[in-house]
Formats: sequence, C-alpha cells, structure tokens
Amino acid sequence: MRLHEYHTKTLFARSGIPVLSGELAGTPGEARAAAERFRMPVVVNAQVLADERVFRVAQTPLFVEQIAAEMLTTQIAGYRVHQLLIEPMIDVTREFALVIEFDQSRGRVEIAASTLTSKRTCSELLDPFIGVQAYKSRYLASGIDLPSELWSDFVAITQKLFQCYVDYDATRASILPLALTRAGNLIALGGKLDIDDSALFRQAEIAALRDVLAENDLPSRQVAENVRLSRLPGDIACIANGAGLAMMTADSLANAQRALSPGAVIEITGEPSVERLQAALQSLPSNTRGVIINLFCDRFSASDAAKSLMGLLVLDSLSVPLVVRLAGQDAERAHEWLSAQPATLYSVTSLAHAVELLSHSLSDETSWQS
Amino acid sequence: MAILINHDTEFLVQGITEQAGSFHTAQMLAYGTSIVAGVTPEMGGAWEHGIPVFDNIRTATEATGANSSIIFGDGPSAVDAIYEAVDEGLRLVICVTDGIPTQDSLKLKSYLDRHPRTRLIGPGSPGVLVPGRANAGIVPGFVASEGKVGVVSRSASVAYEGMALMSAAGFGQSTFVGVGSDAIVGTSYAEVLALFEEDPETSCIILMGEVGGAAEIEAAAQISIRITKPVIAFLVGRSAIPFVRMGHAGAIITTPDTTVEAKEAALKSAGALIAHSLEDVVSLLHATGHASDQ
Repeated sequence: MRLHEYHTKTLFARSGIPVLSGELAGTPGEARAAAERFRMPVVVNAQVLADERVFRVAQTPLFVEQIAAEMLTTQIAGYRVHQLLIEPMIDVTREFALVIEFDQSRGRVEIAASTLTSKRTCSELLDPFIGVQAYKSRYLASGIDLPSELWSDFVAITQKLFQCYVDYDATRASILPLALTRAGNLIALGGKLDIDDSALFRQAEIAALRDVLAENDLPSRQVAENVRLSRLPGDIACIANGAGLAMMTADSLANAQRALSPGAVIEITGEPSVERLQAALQSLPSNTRGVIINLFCDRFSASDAAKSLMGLLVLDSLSVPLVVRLAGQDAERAHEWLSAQPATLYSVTSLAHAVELLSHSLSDETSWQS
Repeated sequence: MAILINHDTEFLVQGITEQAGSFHTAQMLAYGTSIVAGVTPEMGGAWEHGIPVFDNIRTATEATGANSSIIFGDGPSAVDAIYEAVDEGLRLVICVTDGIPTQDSLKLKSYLDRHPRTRLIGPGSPGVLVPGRANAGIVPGFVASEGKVGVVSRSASVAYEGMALMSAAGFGQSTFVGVGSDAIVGTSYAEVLALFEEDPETSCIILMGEVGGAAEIEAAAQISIRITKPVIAFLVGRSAIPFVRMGHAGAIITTPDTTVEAKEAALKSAGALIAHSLEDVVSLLHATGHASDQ
C-alpha cells in the first residue's frame, strides 16, 4: 500500500522531519481558496500514487484554479488525479533524493542519497537492529557534497526517516526532493511511504489512510478477499488458484500458434468459491478479449469447482470466450460434466489445449466479424 | 534417507487447535507423518486427533521428544512461534503461514544466522514431503509418488501440478521442499540443492522458480560450484513487466537480473537444463535417463 504525498508529509512532520505546511484541495474552487491564504506564487502538486511528482507553479489564485481544473481531469502515468496539495513556493538552491528501502532482490535494507542534478548516488547498508548510525549518514552527506555545517541536520533527518520506516512498517521511505533552501535549511518538499501490506494488521492508523479510489489504478491490487489481480499490458485474462499457476498460465499464452498476450493475471487463494470466481470475473479490465480459468484441484474436488463455475451469475453477461481447464482431484468427471452443459464456456483438460482453443476461437471470431 | 526428514524426525504442530492446523494435522497423520505433539498457548491439556496439546514447546518436547515443528496460524502468532521453536532448539521448523511483515522477517533472518542449529523452511512454505513416508505441511499427498527426483519450488501450485505430471509419467520424487513464497525465507534453493547433492536417494533435481529476487541466481552459482547431479529448471513469470507484483510478495521485477530471462541464462550457463513448460520437465527427465522408476 502506498501513501499519498500529503499523508506522508503529515507523518514526516510528526516525526520531526521539516516539511512545508500546505492545504489539500479536491476541486478547482478549493484550490483557489487555498491559494488565497498563501503568499504567491504557490505550487500546485497533484496527489497520485505514481512514482513521479507532478506539480506546477502558479503566480495568481486564478491561475491556480485553471491549473487545478486541468490536473483534476487528466491522468498522470495512468493515475487519475483526485486531490491537489497547494503549498507556498520556496527558494531552493539544491535538491537531493534520500531513500531507505528494503532491497527485495538481495533481502537487505539500504539507505541511499543522491544529487538530482549530477545523478551521483551513494548508499549504505543498514542493519535492521541498529538503524542509521550517524557516521553512515555523514558518509552520504559528504558523498553528495553537502556543506559540513549541515551534516548534523542531515544526520537527524536520516535517523527520523528510518524511524518512520520502522514505525509505519514501510518497505520504502523516500524524501524526494530533499531541498536545500537559500536560507540554508534542509526541508522535505516531497516524499512517499510504501507500506508493507503484510503488516497492515498492526498499522490501523495507516490502513485507514488507504485511498481505494486511487488504488483502482494500481497495476497490482487485492480486488476481494483471497483474490489478487496483477495487470499486464495484454488483453487475455488468466485466473488460477495460486500465484505460480497464474503466472504459468499467463506465460503459456505466448506458445499459441497465434500468440496471445496476458492482461489481467488473477490469483485466487484457497478454494475457488462462487464468490471468489465472481469477484475475479467482475474485476476484468474492459479490454479483455478472452479468459482462461486454470484450476489445479488440490484440496477440493474438480466437480465442486465445476459446479461453482456454472453457478456464476456473471457467466451469462460475459461477452468474451471463456476456457476452463480443471486438473487434479476428480478432474475427468468434472470435464465430462462441464462439456455436457449449455455452451457458456469451453472445458479442456490441458493448459496447452486451453491456449490453442482460445487462440482459435478469437481468430475465428475475427474472420467471422470481417 | 531423503533430505530434511529422516526416521527420527518427530514433529509437533504449532497452532494445532486452529482451523488450518487441525485440518492439516488430520491429513498429515493420515499420510503417516510422525506427529507426537501439538502446541497452542492456553490450550495445554487438550487433545486434537489423538495428539496431546501443550501450552508451549518446552513442555511438549519434554513430554514427547518432539524435535521439529510445523507452524500454522496468522502472521503475528507465526513470528512468535518461530522464535520459540528456535530458542527451544528444534532442528527443523516448517512455517506454512505466509505474509510475515518484512521487518519481522529481516530480524528473524538475522536471528537465525546466529542460531544455526535450527533450519527454518518458509515462511509461506507448503511443506516438506517425503513420498510414502512423511508429509509435513499442506501438500496434497496424491500429487506425489516415491522415486528419485528431488523437487524444490517457491510456488506451491506449480509444484503440485508438476509433481502430478511427473508422477503420472513414472518419475517419483525423493523429497519435495517448498522453500516459501515470501520475499525473505529461512532456507534458500542453494541450500536445498546442496542437500539433494548429498542425498543418495536423489538422482536428479527439479528447481521450480519464478520472477523476482535473487534466489535462482544464487542457485545457479551453487550449481556451477557444487552440484554434479542433473538439474532441470522451470521458471514462471516470463510475461511479468517491471514493478508489477505477480501475486507472491517476492514476485516482482525490480532490477534486470530479477527477470526470468536473466535467471534462465544464469542457470543455463551453470549447467542446468531449462524447461519451458511442465510437460517439458517430464521430457527432459526422460532425456536425462536418470530418474525413471520404470
């Protein structure tokens, strides 16, 4: 789960990391009203869950209103903008990035500082039991050519950032940019906290900040309990009971004679009940051209899974071909039963066959339509 | 002999009175797994499927001689359960629970490094299965059959399907080890490969991996240094794109060396055979001529 910049900065402020105090606006009118309370110019900062930070500077409240109207109707890196943060503009001489991150591929925690102009990056490994020792911060500070009179402020900021990382169960805590003002102060102009989903059970305050509307645009998300969707660029949905099986199903599309490309890849954990299958099918993106449901019936019988499938209300309204492949316990009987049902879906016994069948049914459809 | 589990491995089940723990204990017992005790705090004195339940591991081991454990239960209780198992000196701890908070896992991993007596499998492990002898975890027993192929996998579902295909084709397994789906796990592929290398009952090794993380790259290094038995690798997640997590916590492309292509290249240059489907795994097993029981 990712926190918006304005939430992140509220938490930063609570931890003692210097931030600007801004105002949140959800409409152009609110943005203008907020701007009127600040000294111009102000910065209009789009609140999106994307990596990049998108903002514009405005000289008058009227211009703020115009910018707000534009931002609230556009998408930034695939994310719709629902809120804006209006902040006073400050005079900045240098900008840095400061990131504490769990490095997934190496299984360790790192702190990195970089200069935004020369792209120079220095990093240090952190011990989860010890955190940021001051000397490590000083190595970073000298690495980014920070004047030595600012080192103690920088050390304090890195240690407070680590505290945020720990206190809120973040997997990544970033200050971007960390600005050096003309007056000689360090201030966190922007920042993001990525929170570990597995730790939300003990982060009630953070979990309540979840922006469900914005998360609909996330490429990987929970769509219902025990149903998780990962969004790939293609248009064939792959639904399976298990993350590995779902990936394997998506990968197998490339083997079709006329290769297909995976879109929604959906993992169901536990038994594929009517509710879970229903949630999976209802979450399909609008560009979906076909669906493969691939279930390995490990602790449940394929006949039960087949009955759940036929019990799906959404099947009648599904306008794209659906191929079901059941394997495991009782799979043959389930296949026979499904094959005898009125044809709202195709039943097959191997994944390769499922992919070929879908590929053919889609190319037949094209030739039939043209 | 098989690996990890032998004739004197006696399990206790942590979380035995909870729903998943109770259900799977019945399945494991039916398979013939040696389970001698259960542990659920505040439930000491109860019985579950004919197995005595204790409040803690110390009293359970004193009374029954249990030396290994299987952990069920939710995230917070699983972390506590692992620390207790380590501190009580259990030799093999299989954590079925997945989704352990990353910061807990980092500390746990560091703690385990200082307590090498205990080997942790998981978190997020479907278990360790020695066909015909012991099923410690949640693997559906019907997928496996006795044989000489060692199987190690991060994904449970791919392993089930793969073992069912292998079994149907006459390639039984010596041991299956599910290393776990979490980003940080106690035992790596590399360590399991080394155990298979030493195991006289294993003649060939199947490594089932996926996109994300460095575990398969480490495995490749291990293969080139230490492994003389044939290794067949099958990886899923080829269709993943950068920074989109594919289900498992660890299944995400973060750097170029975490893609399936990069991992396959590393495994291939280390001498592993690369399978492009599970059917392909079976064909390669035929080709190695090592592992068939027929």
